Amino acid sequence: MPLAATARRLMPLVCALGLIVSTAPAVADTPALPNEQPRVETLPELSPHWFLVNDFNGPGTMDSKVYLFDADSGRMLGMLSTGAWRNVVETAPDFGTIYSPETYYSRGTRGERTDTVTFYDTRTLSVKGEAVIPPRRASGLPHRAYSGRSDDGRFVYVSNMTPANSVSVVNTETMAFASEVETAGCAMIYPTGTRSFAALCSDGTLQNVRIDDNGALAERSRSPRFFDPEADPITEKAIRLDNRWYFISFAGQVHPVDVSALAPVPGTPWSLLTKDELEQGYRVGGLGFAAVHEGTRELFVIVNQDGPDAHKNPGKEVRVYDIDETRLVRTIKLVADAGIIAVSRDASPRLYATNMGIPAVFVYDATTGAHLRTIEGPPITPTFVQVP
Amino acid sequence: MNWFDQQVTRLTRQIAARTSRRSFLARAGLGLAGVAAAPLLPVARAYGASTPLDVAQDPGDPSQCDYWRYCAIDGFLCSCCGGTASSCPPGTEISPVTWIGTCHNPGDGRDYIISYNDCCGKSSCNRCTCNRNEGDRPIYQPAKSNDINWCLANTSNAYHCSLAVVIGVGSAG
Repeated sequence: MPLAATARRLMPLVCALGLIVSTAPAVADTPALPNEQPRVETLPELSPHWFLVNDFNGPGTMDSKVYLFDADSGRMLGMLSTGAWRNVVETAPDFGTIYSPETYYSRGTRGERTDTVTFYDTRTLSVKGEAVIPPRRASGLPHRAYSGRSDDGRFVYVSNMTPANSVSVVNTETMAFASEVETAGCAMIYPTGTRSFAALCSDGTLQNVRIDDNGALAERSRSPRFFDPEADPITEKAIRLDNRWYFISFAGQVHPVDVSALAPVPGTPWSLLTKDELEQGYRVGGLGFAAVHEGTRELFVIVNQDGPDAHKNPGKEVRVYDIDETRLVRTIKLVADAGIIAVSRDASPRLYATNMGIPAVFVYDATTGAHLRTIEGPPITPTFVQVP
Repeated sequence: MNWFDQQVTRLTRQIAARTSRRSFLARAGLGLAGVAAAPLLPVARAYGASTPLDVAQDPGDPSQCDYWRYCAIDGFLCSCCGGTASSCPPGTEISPVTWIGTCHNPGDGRDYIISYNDCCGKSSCNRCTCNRNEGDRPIYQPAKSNDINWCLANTSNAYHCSLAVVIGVGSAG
């Protein structure tokens, strides 16, 4: 650019700066601000009302993120940069480490693919190691059950799909890949103990896989057929309480399955919706429509009124059920549609509700249903909320 | 469930029961290569046609989510991204593996089998998001699930947009 042209372009800026200087207040008698030393934050003590939000980053799925927020203050505390195709993270039992299944390409969207489980120090939100796993990690619309963790925290399981199904097992103590376990015809991961996990099968059964202390396949078992995958399929969304998984069907049937032993034992199904409600179009729905509070043994479920094929639709209300008495306890009216919910584990539980299409997280009192706060995004496309 | 779905389901279960994962993949790869080639034929004919397609028989706007072929799609419409309902945008790769749905064409009253191939190798197109779930099933039934990133078997699993390719007429049509 010629010098004269540059000078002409800079002239407005110079004038503006002159205006700022001329209008600045006179130096006061108060002391000047002290000099500062720039630094990097570390996190304070863990609060039960912290929560993680996985951001699928729909506009750029090869650059996903995980945000950490404090529900009490509404502040964002930090973020993880988690590579391509976000599902969820797993966390150590003490929340001291975050285990994040991730995918990378050497040239961003092309080149050599590397899949990892990356280990983050929760206090610093920085990487402290990684395990390289087979480059077959499942991707697509996010699902909670694409990964899991053993009850004692020793192993993390990552779902693979090529489209053949298998599970990569990672040892969290050695931060190393341990083994790949085939689960032909069965998908997703539902941990069932310290050395076992289950997968849902297309024939209406549940496969339970036991691993040894090295993370290798030891033995496996199948449940009897307990749902009809054609007439009323169960969704991939399920919650666990003690040694029982509760799978929920498109029509709101709850299918409890006891996983105390290697062979899963299906229990008696019960319904979240009455026959009249089904006829009126009520359905359970959303990307992550179910949550549980272990202390009160309450099941939280998002309900919409969009009729058949509404299993992914968000809803305007959350119904709360006593999971042991199989009855509706209360209904929480939401201030915005939600497709994803989570509940904090403490005695003053918070209900977090969001929707991939709405870049905000809504915080409610899980007991009274009162709307406490809205935390505006980003996240751009919030998906699963996870609690410590 | 229509006849075609029943046959596919039965065949899938027979394969799963009789074969190991590796042998399934080897055989499936051969079969899917054929499936991938099949949808290309009507596309080639369409491009070679000297007259426009009969809009009365294929009604609707392929850049709109309510276009009849999109009854079970989940993603960005390739029609808005430099491609069409049956062709990927330049520089992307078509996914050889995919899933199928069945959509009713109001133009001729037939049910058509639609292959929802993804276009891969570039980041999200981001235009014309469309999510409809008629007949969509959970991931443990992968041949009927629109949640899966079908770029999974491509050189890169970067997802760009989705197609809705007519690959056959359903038995009811």
